Amino acid sequence: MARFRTLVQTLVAFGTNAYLLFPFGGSVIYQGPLKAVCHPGLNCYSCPGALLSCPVGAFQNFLASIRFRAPGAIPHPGFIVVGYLGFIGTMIGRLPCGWLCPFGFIQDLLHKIPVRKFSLWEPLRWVKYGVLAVLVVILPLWLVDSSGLGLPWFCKLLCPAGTLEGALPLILLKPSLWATLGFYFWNKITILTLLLILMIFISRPFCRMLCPLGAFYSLFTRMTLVHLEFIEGNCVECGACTRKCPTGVKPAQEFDSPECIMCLKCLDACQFRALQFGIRRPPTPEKKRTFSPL
Amino acid sequence: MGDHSRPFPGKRRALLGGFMPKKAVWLIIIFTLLFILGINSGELNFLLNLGNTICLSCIGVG
Repeated sequence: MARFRTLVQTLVAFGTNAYLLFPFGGSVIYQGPLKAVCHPGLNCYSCPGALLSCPVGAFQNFLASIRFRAPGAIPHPGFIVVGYLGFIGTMIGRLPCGWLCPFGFIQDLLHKIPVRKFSLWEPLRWVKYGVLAVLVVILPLWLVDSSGLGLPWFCKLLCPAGTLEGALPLILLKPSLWATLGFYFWNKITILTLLLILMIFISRPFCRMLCPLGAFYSLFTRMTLVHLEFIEGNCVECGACTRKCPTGVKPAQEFDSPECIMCLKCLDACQFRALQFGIRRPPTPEKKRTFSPL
Repeated sequence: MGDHSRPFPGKRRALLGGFMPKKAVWLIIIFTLLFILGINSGELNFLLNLGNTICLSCIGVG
């Protein structure tokens, strides 16, 4: 399962960033019809190779333009992005974080570097909901200029995916951008550097602490159509699932945890079939399921 | 081993975990309608135009 997940992550990361004409005289970023579709994970649409739009960036820009006052301007609240992300969230919860997000894949790769690992202080999990509320929703709506136009504050202040996939390649491709770089760029470079170092020592720190997309998907984890089911009768409390979990979830204690990215490492780790992944079923009475390896 | 005294222990935990099929179905319907509403109100063009321009905020210009 782990190899299959890595294969899927690799294919999605390269498949959705497959525009390769930028070094050969094509436009600096892809400008085709696929940009009308959002990526299910965090992937900067200013990445020269990106074929799809970033859902978080798109949603902020929709909100930032709601109060724009211009003749004939129609306010777009971003229903298309909310509908798209809400549909994914209700169907599969945070599964895109574990399987489809290119920035999550980068974090997984960096965490493979063999050094001493540390766990994340659990209350930091709540920061991402603040990031979603303040930087993605409130500030783009509230802080507007004289024409009523706001800014995507998460992209501007924090987004490390934008810095890594968008800013760094673009300033290499377009040296004219160097003159315009200021506080916000160096702020983002600092955040990216700190997070890249953290990723080596702590598993998925950005997903667990700061990602607004993960925070949005996690709102649906208790009602997703697919989920991890814990079969208490089979559990011997060996703790193998907890040790393998990249987001620090205790599958035997936290059912449908908002932190679960459905990477299914716990499923591989459990020798006693105490965890099952599948479609959430109605609680109809059935025979008690137990499994003994002996 | 786990608690075998209670009937259907695994199912019980799944129920406590928040089994809400009706909510999920309603949410799927609502989000699908929102998506369709977004497409029909011209948001697709907005999204396309947005994606085709370089995001200066992502670069940190300013």
